[in-house]
Amino acid sequence: MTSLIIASMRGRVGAYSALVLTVLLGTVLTGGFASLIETGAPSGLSAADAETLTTMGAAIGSWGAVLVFFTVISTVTITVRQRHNELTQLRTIGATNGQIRAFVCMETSIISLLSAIAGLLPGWFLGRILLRAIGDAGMVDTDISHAFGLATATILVCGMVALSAGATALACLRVTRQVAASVDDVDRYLLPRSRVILGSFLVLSTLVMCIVATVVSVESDDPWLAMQLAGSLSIAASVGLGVLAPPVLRLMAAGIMPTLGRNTPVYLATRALGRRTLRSSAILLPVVVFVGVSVGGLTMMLIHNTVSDTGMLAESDTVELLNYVVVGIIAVFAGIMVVTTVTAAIVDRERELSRLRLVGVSRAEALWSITVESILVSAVGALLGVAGSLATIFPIAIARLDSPLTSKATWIAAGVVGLALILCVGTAWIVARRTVDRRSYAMAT
Amino acid sequence: MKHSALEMQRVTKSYGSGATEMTALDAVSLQLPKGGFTAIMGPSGSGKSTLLRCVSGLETVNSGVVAINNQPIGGWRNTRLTKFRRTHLGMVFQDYLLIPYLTAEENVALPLRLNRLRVDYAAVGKMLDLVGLSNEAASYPMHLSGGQKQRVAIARALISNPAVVLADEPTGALDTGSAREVLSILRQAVDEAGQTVVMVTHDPAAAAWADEVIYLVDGRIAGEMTSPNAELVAQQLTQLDHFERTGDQR
Repeated sequence: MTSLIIASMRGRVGAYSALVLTVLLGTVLTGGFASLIETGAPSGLSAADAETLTTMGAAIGSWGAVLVFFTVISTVTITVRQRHNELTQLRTIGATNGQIRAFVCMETSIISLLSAIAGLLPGWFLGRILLRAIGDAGMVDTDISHAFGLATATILVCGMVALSAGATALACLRVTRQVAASVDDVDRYLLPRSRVILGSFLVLSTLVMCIVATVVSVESDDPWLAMQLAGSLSIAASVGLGVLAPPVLRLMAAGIMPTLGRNTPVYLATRALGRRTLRSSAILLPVVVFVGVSVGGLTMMLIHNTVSDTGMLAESDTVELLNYVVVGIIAVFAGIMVVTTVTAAIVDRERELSRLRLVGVSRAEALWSITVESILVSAVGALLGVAGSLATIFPIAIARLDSPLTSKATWIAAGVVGLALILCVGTAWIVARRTVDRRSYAMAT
Repeated sequence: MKHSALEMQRVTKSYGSGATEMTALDAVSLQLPKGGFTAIMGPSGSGKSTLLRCVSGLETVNSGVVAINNQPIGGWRNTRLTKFRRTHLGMVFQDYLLIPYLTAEENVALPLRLNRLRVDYAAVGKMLDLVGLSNEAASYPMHLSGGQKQRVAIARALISNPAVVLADEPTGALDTGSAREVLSILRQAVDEAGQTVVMVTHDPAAAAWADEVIYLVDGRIAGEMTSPNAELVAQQLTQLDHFERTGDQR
């Protein structure tokens, strides 16, 4: 089996690039914040310093970890689905389901292991930069030495490997049970029950937490309480809304259909979106999270800074800068995830695009149908992201400002939504341009 | 000039260059009149699929002329070629190549839509009726059997009344019963609607449905047979095998 794995991996360098990038960046992000927790652990530190470092590492690091968690799963699922035919062939030549699972899991584990190890050094570097920034901001002593030990590194790498292996096993289960999407599949149902349960749980619980946070922080004198309680609610809300999004997407496609139906690209895009909504919604989740986290985080900072400027809180400009850096890191990571997911999702549609070309859809029409589809998906994603960000913004705005929303916040939302659209549609366009040129018969089956 | 649905004049197509150069079509010339059913046969690697791809404009030829309805199609830009293909050619493939997220009815109507024509659902319905699938109009390809999918694909190829229908191993993935249905639909299109059909196949029983069989060996036309039947076609094929071997020794 080892030789099969090596041979298979050699021929698949390109296909694995999305997974490599996801795991590598995931390790950098979580590693940077994990090292802050480790730095805060030694007994020599003052209690205040230790708490600042641990809070920062754990609170913000866990946002990042949730992001990494979902993107690794989504990337692995697409990677395995692309291999559906090959894995089915292995079955026909006598490989058992267990052997196939072991084979693919081993492969993704090795990829993840190498990628995670490659991410350790930049992760260590990110941790150092963060510690320096926190020190310069006067939040901790500047002579604390940065720590990133073997234990943290091992936990990170093992976590990454376990996550990809787990996601692979799940994805393989679908292939071996023959429920995996084949090129001909259309949605059998709108939303699997597991997604309804997970999504409703996330949305309802954030809603409750949001109300609690609003009530508690309005009553409290602590100016930090609202941020502490509501700061990370936008990510849970965004993930929940992203998980529940397919029906919204389908409704959107149904609404567009009659109005613009005669134009070929719009016709194809809305049919594809309306009937294979689950497939198209793979792109949706990172867009929702990107918009939700960025709008929520930036607006939180905006409110915080506006209040600081009025003298309610005495803080230096460096703290403001640090806040933006932290939100920035998460946003950049989510943005990269949008790009990798969109890329993987469109490469996944290569066969279908070749079919369209072979039956006489022109290059421009095929390209536009993908572009129109990505515009619709990212618009719905952005809308839900803004809704998700309200889970963070609302309690803080009520607690800290007289008016719940400022005009500046609207500009932030508009800017982030614009950026999300450019990222998603731009990537879709560039990747689709390469894909639509392949019109060979072999690609279409 | 005599009116022909499809004409090839000394068409040559080769792949690779230098020592690895492989000639798939070697100065092939043929002329097919309107309203005929022609089968193209030959051993694997004889160039029959390449011929079909060159005729349909999916491959550019190295030299020679391909003309559909007396209109040469060489040297065109991609978009012009695509537009010509979808108005003048109907394509049927071994793997059906239906669009998965369109129903049978929508798949059949797609060429009309692509040609910016008003979709006449009565005509689409009639076409589905012709291939015996009026009950499956609203079904997606995933819910259809192989034979049903191929019949939808043929309806899609016929709907825009093309100059030529090009079928590449249309029965290659089907059981004998479904294959017979598919072939009789093609035969019917020729006999009743005056359609021109060119079919590449390696199955003598399928070729026997045609009016004429053209044999291709090593990229050259090696023989022709009119009014074929399955036994004669098979017999001829074994002789081609022999011809090929003596050709190698030369």
